This record gives sequence, structure tokens and C-alpha cells, in this order.
Amino acid sequence: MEIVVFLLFALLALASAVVVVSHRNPVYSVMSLVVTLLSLAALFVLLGAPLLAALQVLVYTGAILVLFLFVIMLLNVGRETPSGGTGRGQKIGALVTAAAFGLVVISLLWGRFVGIEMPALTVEYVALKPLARTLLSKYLLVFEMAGLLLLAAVIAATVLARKVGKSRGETV
Amino acid sequence: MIDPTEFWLLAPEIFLAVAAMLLLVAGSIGRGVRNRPAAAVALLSLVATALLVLWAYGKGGSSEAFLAGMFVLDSYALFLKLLLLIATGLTVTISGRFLEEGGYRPGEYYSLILFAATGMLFMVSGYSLLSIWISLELMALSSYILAGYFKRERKSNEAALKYFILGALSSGVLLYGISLLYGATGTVHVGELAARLGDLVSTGEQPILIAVGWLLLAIGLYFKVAAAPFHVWTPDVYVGAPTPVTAFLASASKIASFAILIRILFEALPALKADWQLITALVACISMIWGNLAALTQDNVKRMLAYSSIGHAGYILIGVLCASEEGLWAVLFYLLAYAFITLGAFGTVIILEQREYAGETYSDYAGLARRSPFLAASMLVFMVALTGIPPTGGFFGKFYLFAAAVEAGWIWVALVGVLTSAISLFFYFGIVVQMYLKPSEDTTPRPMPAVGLASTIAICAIVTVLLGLVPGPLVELAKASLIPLP
Repeated sequence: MEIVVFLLFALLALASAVVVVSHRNPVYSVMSLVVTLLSLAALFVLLGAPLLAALQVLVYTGAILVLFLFVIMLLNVGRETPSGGTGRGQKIGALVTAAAFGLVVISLLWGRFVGIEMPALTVEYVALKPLARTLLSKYLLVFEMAGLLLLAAVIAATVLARKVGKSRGETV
Repeated sequence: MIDPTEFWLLAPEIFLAVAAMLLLVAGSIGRGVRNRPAAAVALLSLVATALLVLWAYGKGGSSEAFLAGMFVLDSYALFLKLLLLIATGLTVTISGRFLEEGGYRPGEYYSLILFAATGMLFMVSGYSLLSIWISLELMALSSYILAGYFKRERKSNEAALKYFILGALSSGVLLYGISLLYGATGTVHVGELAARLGDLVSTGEQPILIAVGWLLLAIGLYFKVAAAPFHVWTPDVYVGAPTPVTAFLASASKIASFAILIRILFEALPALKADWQLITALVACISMIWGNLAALTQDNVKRMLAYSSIGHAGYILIGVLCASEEGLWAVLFYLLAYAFITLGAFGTVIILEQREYAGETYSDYAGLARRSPFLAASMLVFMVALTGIPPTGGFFGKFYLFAAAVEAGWIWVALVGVLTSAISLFFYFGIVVQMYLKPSEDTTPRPMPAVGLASTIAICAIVTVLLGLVPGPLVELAKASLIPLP
């Protein structure tokens, strides 16, 4: 049963991810990204991390992708026009690189998995309270640094979005 | 698990971040701050941060990581933090001109510089792949915007976009490698990672998960230090970005990236030493050859310096791949010398620039010795130093690196280094020939540059020569700032 559910969502995630990069209409791309992220959320549930799944749905599908849609619709982005910049050599190069990397990943899956034995996720690991405790004790420094990073990102977005004056004398 | 008093040792980083935020607030009240006060505040906070770094090191400096193993304040971090603060300070002093002439707001500019510097301070102290990665992103994100700060210029927009896309790609590669290593070992802590990798590797068969993981990690880092063949972003970004920002990227950003490259290779991956030595040797040779050959064909001085910085990344990697004491302190010496040389060279380019991008070609330097002897003399010092000719810091930097390589048995790599240095003579001295031997079409003497800019160039030139005359003290300092060898 579990393997069926896994295969279903894994294939769904892969297929919709292909649509994200291949479709020319950005709205369709975003909608398939929603499917990808929802399937990943389902996989998180299978792995025994329901909180992560809930966060994935809330933050990614709920907030970020809706924002994507807003931006695309507000900017009225049409179908992606072929830019002509991608030459033949570039395409071949991309394919060869992708194939090489794919081979590496496949051999990684085929090879015997050697690594540290990790305990299975239990409630003590993934419930909200222990998660919050870990985040604010062991990972406190990283947590605060992420806050700083987000602040820098906000400043960056503001600087980029500010209107540019035409003449050189004008303050930008 | 965390002792709250340990946060006192983060005082320099916290102070710098707060200073960045205050500058930001000051810049957005009313008409904003003017360039001079903003630069003064930025400089003062960098000086205060340097003092706080010394204080924190005196209070709790040791090679033991704290804050749950995320942060380390060893002598290696101390050396690099002070060096990064100096490089950032010199960047601030050469930034005024383009902000004033272009009418760009200084508040956000200096604030972003300080944010990037905060990220760098965290980077060199990072002792967990997680904290290293997040601080790297803090630096990178600020740099993307700085590269696009000339918002009216298409070239600057292009630089920011290219830098952002390729930077995001390389960060993704880096993170992918980290996640694979985490999958294999179950830890991101540098020390634990080394121990567990050692156990796994010593069992005989090296799992492919680890091989792919560390390779992706290393590739991400080579991207960040702009080593060939992962350098494609460098020339366009260096040319398109405002020149002070280019100087910042070529000095401070490069130093911080090398700091984490060395920390990760030496302290997290000692078990894979033979593997990464070989890969680093290849990357070093490709960088030296490609960087120097491509620089030969350039007509734009900024683009030439961009390719030359790729070549210099190759020279520094020589010291890294030795994995010996000599190699490591040679790298630290070189990073310091290179920071001063680069900042000085780009500072001179800034003075000669007119209307944002003009005045950057070789022929614009014709007859400079007649028009401005000071600028020509300092540019001469920087070009001599970049080539690696005595009596400059560049000579000893290269000499120590090559000597370390020979001692560690990497003679062929040192040979490539010597040969490519000989090639570099042609393009560095192309500028010297223009300055001293070619007549100038424009005979008006140049107006004296602003005091801040001129004194920065003078300081850089003096330090470059001093390092070539008395390298001893710095060598002793670098020798005291080593991390455990793999």
C-alpha cells in the first residue's frame, strides 16, 4: 500500500516538474509547480513528518506560489517567446550535461547505499514543540542569521524596485 | 544546550549588522543622508567592529567551536576577519565618487556593503556547513544588488542579473553537495563530518554518495572563488558592476570565499585529501592558463583585471592544494597582499573613469605619466606586483606559494604558475607602456582626485611595496593563524 502511494506521488511530482520547465505559458508552469509541491508534501507525510508537510502546503503552495501567480497576472506576462539566444550548441551542451549528471544520480541509486544509520523519524523529532526547541537552541545562530538574510533580501528588493530617475542629477 | 553568555563573542557581527540597519534607516528619512557622512559612519563602524573582533578574540578565542558547534573564533578567523574589515573599509573610501556623480543614494549602498561584510565575518567563523551556507548567501545577496547599483546603465543591470542567476545556480550546487554529505553522514558540523567521513572512507569502498557530495560542494566553492572552468560569470560581472563594487568582489568577497573553501577542505574533508588535492590542482592549472591567456586579448582594463583575478585564484589554489603549513600561510600572505593590490588597481581605474564606463581602455592610459605622475607611479606599482616582480608584495606572495608547491611535491603545478606569470608580464606591462612611452592625445593635466580616493591608492601602493621590502612580520602573523592540517 505504502509503495503504491509513494509511486503515485513520486511520479506525479516528477511529471509536473517536467511541465514546469517545459510549458511556455507561465501560469501553467506555476500551477504545475503547485502540483509538484503538493506531491512532495504527500511524500513528507509518508516519511513521517506531517508538520513539514503542513508547512510545505502553508508556506510554499499557500503563500509563495500564490504570490507568483499575482506577479505574473499583474505584469500580464504572456506566453514565453523563443528568445533566439539558445543556439544549437547550447542545447546539445545542456543535454550532454544533463545526461551525465543523470547517469551519476542513477549510479548513485544503483550502488549500495553506504552511510550512517539514521534513526527513523518519530514524534519526538517532528512534533511542533521539539522542533521549535531544536530550532531555538541548537540552531539558534542559524535561525537568527536567516532573519538577517531575509532583511537583506527585503532591502535588495526595495533597492531594485525603486523608480530610476532619468537625469543624472536626480537622486535614485 | 547553548550558554547565552556565548553570544557576547558575537559582538562584532551583531554590532556591524546593527550599524548597517541604522545606516539604512538614516538613508530613508527625508531626503536621505549625503555621501560623506554615510561613508564616515560606515568607516567608523568598521573600525569599531575591528576593535570588537580583537576584544572578542581576547575574551574567548580558541579553536573550539561554540554556540552548539556553529561558530568558531580561532586565530585563522581572527586574521581573516581583520583582513576583511580592512578590505571593506578601503572599498568604502573609494566608493564616494560614483555615488556623488551618478546621484545614487549612499544610505542603502553603504548599508548593503556592511551587510555583505557581516556575512563575510560569519563565513570565516562558520563551523557548520549550515551556518557557512547561510552567511555565504547573506554576502552573495548583498553583492548581487551592489553589482546592479548603477541602475541607469544597462551593463550594470546585465551584471546584476548574470551574477544573480549564476550565483543562485552555484549556491544550489553547493547546497546539493551539502545535502548529499548530510545524507551520508547525518551531520553538518565540520568536526563531526570529518570524523564520520574518516570512518566511512577507511572501511575501504568509498560510497558514491560521498564522492558526488563533496565534488558538488567543491564545485560550488570554486564557482564562488571564480576559478576556471567555473568562472564564466566573472568577466561580465566585473566589467558591468560599478568599479568600487568590482574591487569589493575581487578582494573581500574572494577572500571570504577562499576562507570557507580552505576551512571545508581542510577541516571537513581531510579523509578525502588525495582526491581534492588532485581536483584542485587541475582547477588551479586551468585557472592560471585560461585567466592569463584570456587577459592577453583584452582591450578593456577592467575586463583584463577580471581575467587576471581568475588567474590569481589559480595561484592561490596552489597553496591550498599543498595542504601543508607552508602552503596555508602562503595563501594567507597572498590574500592580504592581493587585497591591497586589487583595491589599489581598481581605485586607479575609478579615477580615470569618466561618465561611468568611458576611460577604461588601454589607450585611455596613454601618456598618463606626463598628465598625472602620482597615478602612473601607483599603477606601475600595482602592475609590477600583479606580475610578481620584486620589490613588491606580489613577488613574495607568488614566491611563497610556488616554494610551498615544490616542497609538497607539486612541481608541475608550480611550473605552470611560473610560466603563466611570465605570460602575464605582457598584458600588465601593456598598461605601463601606454602610461610611460605612448604620447597622450589629451594633454590637459588631470585634476587632483578626491582626498579619500587618492589616499586609499597611496596606502595600497605603500603597503604593496612594504610587503616586498619587509615581508617578515606578516609571514609571522600568517604562521600564527593556521588551522589544523588535513
